[in-house]
Amino acid sequence: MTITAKNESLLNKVINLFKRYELLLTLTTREIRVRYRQSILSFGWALGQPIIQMVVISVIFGSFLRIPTGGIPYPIFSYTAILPWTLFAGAITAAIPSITGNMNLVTKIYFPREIIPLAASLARLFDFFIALTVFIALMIWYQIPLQSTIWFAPILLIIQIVLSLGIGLLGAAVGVFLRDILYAIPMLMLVWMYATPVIYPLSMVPPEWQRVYMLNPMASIIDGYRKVVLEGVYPDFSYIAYAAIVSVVLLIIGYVYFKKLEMSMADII
Amino acid sequence: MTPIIQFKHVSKLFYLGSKRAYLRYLLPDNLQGDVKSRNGQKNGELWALKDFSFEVEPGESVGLIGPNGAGKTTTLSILAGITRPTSGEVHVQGRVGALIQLGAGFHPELTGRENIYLNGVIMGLSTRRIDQIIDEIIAFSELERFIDTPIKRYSSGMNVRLGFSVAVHINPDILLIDEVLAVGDASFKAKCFGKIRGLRQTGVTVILVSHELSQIRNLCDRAIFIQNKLIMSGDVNDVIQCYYDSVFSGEQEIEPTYDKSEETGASASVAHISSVELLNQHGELTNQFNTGDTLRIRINYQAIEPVENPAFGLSIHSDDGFRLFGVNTQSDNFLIQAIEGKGSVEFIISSLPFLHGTYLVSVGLHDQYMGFYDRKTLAYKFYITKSPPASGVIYPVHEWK
Repeated sequence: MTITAKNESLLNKVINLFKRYELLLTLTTREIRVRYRQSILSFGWALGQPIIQMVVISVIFGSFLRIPTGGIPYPIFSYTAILPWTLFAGAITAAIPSITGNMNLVTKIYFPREIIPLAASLARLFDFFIALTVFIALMIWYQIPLQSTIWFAPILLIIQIVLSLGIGLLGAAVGVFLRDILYAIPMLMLVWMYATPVIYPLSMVPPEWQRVYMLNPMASIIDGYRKVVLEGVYPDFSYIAYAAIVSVVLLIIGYVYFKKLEMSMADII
Repeated sequence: MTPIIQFKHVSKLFYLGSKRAYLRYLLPDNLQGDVKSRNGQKNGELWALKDFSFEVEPGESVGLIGPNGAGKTTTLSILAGITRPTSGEVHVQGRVGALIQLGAGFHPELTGRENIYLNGVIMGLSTRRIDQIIDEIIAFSELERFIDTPIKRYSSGMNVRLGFSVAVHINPDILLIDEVLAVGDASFKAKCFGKIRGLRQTGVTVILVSHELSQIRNLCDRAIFIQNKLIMSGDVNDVIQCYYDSVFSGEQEIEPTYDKSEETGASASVAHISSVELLNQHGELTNQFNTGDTLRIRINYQAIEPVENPAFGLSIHSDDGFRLFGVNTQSDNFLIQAIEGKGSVEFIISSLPFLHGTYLVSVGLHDQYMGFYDRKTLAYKFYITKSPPASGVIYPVHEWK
């Protein structure tokens, strides 16, 4: 094996990543185990966070402000969006500081380092599935009929996962060298949530803003969840295609840039 | 025979300094790789390695020595794949196992067993392989009773055992060891050394970085003295000699690197040790000696009030603080009736029985009941720079028949 200053081919790097799938699994399991080992409350937090958010938002936006939801009860209206959004924001929030938070894994041993933010993001999927049970309970409680279009939801899920991985990788890499990014994330994700139809329906966006608004790939996706799960209609596929393309492009950019920066990460200390 | 490791004109540049320096890593210049080796050093740049070349044959055991900042850890990091050279080429055949830190990935909330799996997978073993050897690993660590408790309850010694037990079962072709052998209790250290020797016998190539030069002598066939580039490579003793010669220019009282407690009893105002001088047989101040030389330690004291039946104590320690030898004037029956005002007492070893290495000296002034007036613990350093060929710490006069 030859080690030089030059990088290996991208193909080789991807192959090396797949060779270490067991490590990815192990690190993901570590994240999950540690969170749930720490206290019973931790387990409850995966359920608690989206529920509490939904309750608070329902009271304020549902009761006080009375956001029009087209006849659907506000709690389930908002939860349908909060659930996937929590996964999206959670995956990014976990991934970006993951390298700086695990410097001992970077400076003392080598393995494909993208595994670290990937594991951090994937661990959030576990929370997602737990919170999904609450969703099912809500659907039953509000007697929402199962729509024939619901099969499309997993596709939306895949698109958002790809998007969050791309952003996570890019952010994690840059974050090693520019710590400012780490401080900006919570605020960024909050702003992004307001720019996405989580609390309010897409229909409330004024027509003159629609073009700019729809540049946000998560806009059509979150709205898409509501459409296919609650309303039984399909979203505009051109917007979904746009979101899918943006996600794949961001994943590629994120991964390539990460791998270029990867070998300098241990030099920072 | 093709060398198993080849370093060819390797240079390594680090950008240092303020946070703005880190931005340089993001620039395309750095991302392309293969930065041309520049002469000189601009601000904010550190060339940890400059045109460093060396080779290692399969099965060799090489010690890497040099002062701090010489590039030893950088060299190991490059070999382990942790970082990349700025220019130059490195060729490595076979699997590299790095003991640069024990327990990479350990999490306090997980049990010992879970951490073994975690650490093992991080270091490149498959879960299946770990299943096969998990019992061996646990047995080596001697932590059977605690293996299913979270390691947040482990003492640091237990953590070392756990980490080391996984690390020695990786079975690489090349083993890199960076100072990790400095930890652990004596019996466990011996176990680890034994295991490493065993690995050597199966043909594993070992690169060892250590400040404890006795370890280098014990484990290595060859040594390399590095100071950002190759200074010398060859026989272990010769290279260590070269290292000592270049580094030590004769300082008397140096700060020891750890706990130096200058305990002064409440009665220090009555009498205290004003200074301690290390002398050779000609009475010249020095701190470098050869095995067999005469060592004179002059303890200068000041007794503000007269003290009856004082006792002076002196002990000599190895560089990790381990006491090799301690005596006092009382136990040696060198009875001093009283001391008053300024004076000195001399301690003489006519033939130093110590081998190559760094030694520390503690000195104390006690009253007749062994309560102390003044104590200077591990406060003085001397070096044995030339020894007859032998390993270990002491050199008793001996013969073969």
